[in-house]
Amino acid sequence: MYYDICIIGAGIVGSLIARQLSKYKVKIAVIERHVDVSMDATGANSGIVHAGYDAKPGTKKAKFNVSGCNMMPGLCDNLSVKFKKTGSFVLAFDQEGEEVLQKLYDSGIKNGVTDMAIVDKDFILKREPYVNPLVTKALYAKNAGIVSPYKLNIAAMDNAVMNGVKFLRETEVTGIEKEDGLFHISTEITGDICSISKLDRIKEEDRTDITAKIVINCAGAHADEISRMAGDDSFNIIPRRGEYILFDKTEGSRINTVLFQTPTEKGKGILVTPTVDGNLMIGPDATVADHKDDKCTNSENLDYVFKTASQTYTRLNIRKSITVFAGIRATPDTSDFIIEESKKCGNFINVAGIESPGLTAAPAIAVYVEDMVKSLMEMKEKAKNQYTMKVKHDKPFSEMTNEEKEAACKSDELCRKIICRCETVSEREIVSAIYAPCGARTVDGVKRRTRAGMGRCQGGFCAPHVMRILSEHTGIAVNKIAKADADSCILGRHSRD
Amino acid sequence: MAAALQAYELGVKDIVILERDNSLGGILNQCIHNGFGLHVFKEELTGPEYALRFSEKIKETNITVMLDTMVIGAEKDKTLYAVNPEYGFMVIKAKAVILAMGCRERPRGALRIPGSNCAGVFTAGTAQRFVNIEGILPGKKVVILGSGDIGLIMARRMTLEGIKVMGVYEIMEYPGGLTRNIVQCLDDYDIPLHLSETVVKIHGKGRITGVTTAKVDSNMKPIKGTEQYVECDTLLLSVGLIPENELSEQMGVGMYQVTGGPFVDQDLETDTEGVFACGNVLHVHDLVDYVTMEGQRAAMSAKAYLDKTLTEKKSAQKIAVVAGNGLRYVLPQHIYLKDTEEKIKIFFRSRARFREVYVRASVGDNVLTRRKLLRLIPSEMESVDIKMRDLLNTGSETNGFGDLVIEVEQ
Repeated sequence: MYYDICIIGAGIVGSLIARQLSKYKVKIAVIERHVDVSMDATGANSGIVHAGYDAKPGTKKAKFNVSGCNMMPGLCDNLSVKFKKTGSFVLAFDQEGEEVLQKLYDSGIKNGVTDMAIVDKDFILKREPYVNPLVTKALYAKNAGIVSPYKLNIAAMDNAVMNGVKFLRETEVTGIEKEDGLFHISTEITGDICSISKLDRIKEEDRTDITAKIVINCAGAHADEISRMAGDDSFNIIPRRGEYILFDKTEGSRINTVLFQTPTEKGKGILVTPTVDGNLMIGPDATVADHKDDKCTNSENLDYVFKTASQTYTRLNIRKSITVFAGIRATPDTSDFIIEESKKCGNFINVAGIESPGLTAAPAIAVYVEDMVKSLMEMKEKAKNQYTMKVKHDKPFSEMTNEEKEAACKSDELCRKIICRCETVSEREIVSAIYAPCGARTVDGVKRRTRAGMGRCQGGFCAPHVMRILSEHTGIAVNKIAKADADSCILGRHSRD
Repeated sequence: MAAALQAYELGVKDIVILERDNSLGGILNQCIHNGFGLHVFKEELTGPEYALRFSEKIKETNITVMLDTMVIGAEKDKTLYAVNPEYGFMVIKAKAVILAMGCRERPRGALRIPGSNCAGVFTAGTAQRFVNIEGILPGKKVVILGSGDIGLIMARRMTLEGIKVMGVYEIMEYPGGLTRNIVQCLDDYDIPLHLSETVVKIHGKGRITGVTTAKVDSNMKPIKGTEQYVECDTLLLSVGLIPENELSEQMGVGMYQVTGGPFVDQDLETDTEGVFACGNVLHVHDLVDYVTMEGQRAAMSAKAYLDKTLTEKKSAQKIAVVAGNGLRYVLPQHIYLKDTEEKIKIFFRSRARFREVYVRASVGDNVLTRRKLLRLIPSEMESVDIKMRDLLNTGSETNGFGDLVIEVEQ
């Protein structure tokens, strides 16, 4: 199948680029090896919208961080994704720490960050009473915030698909050849969920014999491998792993601001943050991963995360933890984002090494790549009524007022069935998630879109119901319903088979 | 159901049961093994049979039963918000509320078992539902972490379904479940029980392919060098139950950290007036029979509350009941004194295993009662009876009263 533009990778970067380009009259495909968007780095990170003071002035990281941070509230509004401008503190506990704050402040000024201040202990403790009282000063960045990275990712892809982008799931790129200015992309089908599902009408020819005029490499931790396929070995990705502990919402209600420790060479240090959905989260550490898909957690690392976070925040109760997870960071050996047309292969754009602050930077990167593509290929914008840059989501049942709940129940039978008790998720929300433009096909897919299974019982009660609903609507047998990819089926055979 | 029936029998006219499942009986419906009802019915029933005894009786009453009904909010003034397919969104105003929501299982995340976040890790109860209600097996080769009763029951259940149970791993030096379940579910099927041993890592990409186990020291820390790899495609967790008190907390009910349930007095009344608690939402029980009896007691109190004959609490002297030496918790946690001849049953669980011990109840130097127990183990709940009269005699209104301490004699 021919596409004008092929985007490899459906993380936040690939998905926002796809959305950005979907307003033009071009044929676009996003190739994703997993069954869903947001399955790697985007699916497991801190979800912080950084103000932009920590990136080294003059770098791409600094530039895209600051502009991305400014774009984030508007983008989230357009995509009906929750964004909270919480502000952030970098906490200092001694003279040395205070000097670091000053340096951060200075580079913030150079990077164009506004609304920053170095604040004293009283200010900090008034806003965050459970910060370790030994704190002396903090860098307060008012524009920092929090967002759900996977929800933003999903909404971006929903929007892209609404505008005609083809989302090719369970399709892995295995080779790239360039011939007469045209890329030939060979692929392998990695799973059978979409081929079994009756909701996906991806034709075999859509994802085999792919040719494209422009390729955009957004393959995250694997971006160096994809780049090499196109003959460009100018960078390497060294995967790093960060581990997190997530706590019950009871804990999240006590914290309002993102709390950083002073950064070290390894990263921004262990943070303590509320999540947009009201939980409390701590992490990440930064360790070298065994391989690029190494998302295993380790007890020593989790202990380290907890111990270190406890130094900044005094109210951590390990008994209130509900899950732990690890995320992969696509750290480049070039120390900065790589966002450029390959010098070795024309029309091949690398968007690689997008480690922190990649989530914040992604909206700005998408616009930058849009301009790059425009310079490579003539693209006409669709008529205004042929695309939309907005996604409308129904309000989650749990966020409705009693009056809204009553009205919703009156008009909609599926609202009256609450499937997930911990997070109060109705059957309507789950069904909507399945039928969305980039719909859920797996238990984790439903979970990320609706929060069913994300609460304190972690799906103990709702998983059987979610699996039944998925099966009813996708036509996939219950014992073929997967957690994540096709190799993660939850159940075995029927007991009377 | 026990509370509703008791209240009905006592003459309460307007009773509603709000049940989130599509039938009455809760988790009993998936407990298709026998062993229920030895105390209440003097016979051995399966879970569904035990539930049926009550649901059949309820049919003969005018108790309103609302199934598929999720209570989504509650307030201190006993207003409940619920939804169900039939009526949609409902606001229910009650004079008295009996909390009987049961418990949930502690999930993997709460234990922070490290490793891969793959499929194939189930809580034992969820697996039980899949096997017994949905008729689908979780896998072929299973490791069970934790020796709680559901895990033990599932070890046998899965063996009967042709699943290979590799072993049960228990971090403590003694099993978490009832002795009868160790014998009938593990010993009878030659399933190994590994005490002081736990799972330290989960392996697998999409689906679990194995676990690393390790022995633990006396601080329950894994001992280096004792790691073993055990191949499996399923890991079942039976590592504890947590009372489901999110609604209780919305009603302003105070929680006791140790049980995870509300603080209650001898009437099973919480510190929110007119709100009573019973069963696993109050504290995790080992036998359903005791749950039933507790439900009946809660209903009696609720009826007395409606009749305004419940213990006078505003002006009454309140004494604390304290878990002393060797005990993990006691219930109730406080007693309101009154001038009656009634007996109060104090339930407790031990912290460790004891043989041939006396459990003593005392206030200061006054020993109110001693009970000899041939054995006292954490997995089996015990009780002592206290006479209100004896309690009253330990102090006076002017000099006050000390705490009632329940403890294992040294």
